[in-house]
Amino acid sequence: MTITRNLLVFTLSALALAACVACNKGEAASSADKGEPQAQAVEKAAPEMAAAEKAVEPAAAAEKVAAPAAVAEEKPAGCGHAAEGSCGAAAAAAPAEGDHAEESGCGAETGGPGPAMEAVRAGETPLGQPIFHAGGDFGEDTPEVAVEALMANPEEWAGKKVKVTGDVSAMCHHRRGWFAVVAGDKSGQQLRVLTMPAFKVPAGSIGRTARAEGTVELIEVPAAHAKHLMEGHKLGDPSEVQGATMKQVVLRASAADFIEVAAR
Amino acid sequence: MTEPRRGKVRWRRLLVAIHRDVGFFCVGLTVVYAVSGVAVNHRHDWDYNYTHESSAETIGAPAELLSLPADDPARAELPRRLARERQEALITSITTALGRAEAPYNAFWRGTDRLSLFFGRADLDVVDYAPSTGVATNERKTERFLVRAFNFLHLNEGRGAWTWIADVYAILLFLLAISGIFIVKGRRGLMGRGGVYIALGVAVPIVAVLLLR
Repeated sequence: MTITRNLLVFTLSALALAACVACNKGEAASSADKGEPQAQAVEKAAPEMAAAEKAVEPAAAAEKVAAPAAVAEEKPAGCGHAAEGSCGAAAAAAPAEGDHAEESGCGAETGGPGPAMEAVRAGETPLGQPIFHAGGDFGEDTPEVAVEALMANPEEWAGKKVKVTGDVSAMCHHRRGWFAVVAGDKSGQQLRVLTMPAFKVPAGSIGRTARAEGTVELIEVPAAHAKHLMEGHKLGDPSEVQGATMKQVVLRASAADFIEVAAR
Repeated sequence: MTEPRRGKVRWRRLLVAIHRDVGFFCVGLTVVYAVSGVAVNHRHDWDYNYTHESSAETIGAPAELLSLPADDPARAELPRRLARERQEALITSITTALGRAEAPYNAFWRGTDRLSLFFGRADLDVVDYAPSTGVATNERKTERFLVRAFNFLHLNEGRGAWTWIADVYAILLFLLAISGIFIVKGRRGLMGRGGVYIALGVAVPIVAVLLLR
């Protein structure tokens, strides 16, 4: 009786596992199919990327001296690896963690990571660099704006849909709900791109080049979290955080490409 | 001696058997979720996926690395207004000064005084060069082999089939909890001490939500 029961349990478990693996392979096949139209979109997009890079350079030439307080000149702030590897080092208590999650798009406002999409490999650049696409499709008429131009006049761009391109300088490692791109003018200004609930930032994206499309927003970040972003993720000078909240310009992304840059 | 009612004896025995066998089966996954749970729970205090090593080395100011003559006007404009060719040369010089055999796969300014060079893969090996001090700080991250694997499963990073396997495990845990309630009878069971422990255990999350949320 015992042997029979155990055999039955074992057989059912094995069947269930096999079914799950079969389902997983089915999902992988369908996502590979999904990659093809995206790959075609990427091939079309690659010359646009080159044009976008050229568009960024003239904008970089027109450097702005004044930087918004939210992302002022960066000073090395040794916060230790704890904050770099987590998104909650700013405070120990749950309420602060909740605040951080809500404003930063890390997923809490939708009840958790939920159905946020993972990036899929969507082709290669003409140089053979893999491209990972996340989120929806890019709009054909969405204007491309330089990060420094957006940071210099955030009110002008607030509420508008734009595309930005830049190197990924920081990201949320825990819930992967945002990443930051640097301005091309070497000013150190960094624009945070909030990706939740649309998609999760691919792990290991720091160092890649990214192009993101989304809506520009001006948000109020709680002071504790602002300090965490600046100290832990080195997004600015923590001493510039004054008051209970800090205004920040962010891009609420609907789509993004992450390009693995080839070795020089 | 009267025989116990056969129906009542059978279901308890079956419950014990299920609880025992399911319990044995769940040992492995419980260890995984427990270790990873503690690791992730303390994410404020440590990087639960990687160990970090940091070292600093003084390699010199950009003018020295680029071997600029003393009267070169470019000295006054360093480092912000570096032309692209000079920036590439600076990156190469930094790489050579650090004794690195391979070139960085990417390099860009993450601050006015912070040129970051990315080696290897992602941000596992990054050098931050501060032109003002001539110091290059290397931060390397190494995966915590076992904990990283446990976190991969616990946080369902792979998605796909693991989502269903984890759901089955959750159901088995639920089975363990419910079956465990009815295994012991008498004053140590649900109607006795066991019931008190259950009430205390249920009170913990309720009180936590009321007080902390």
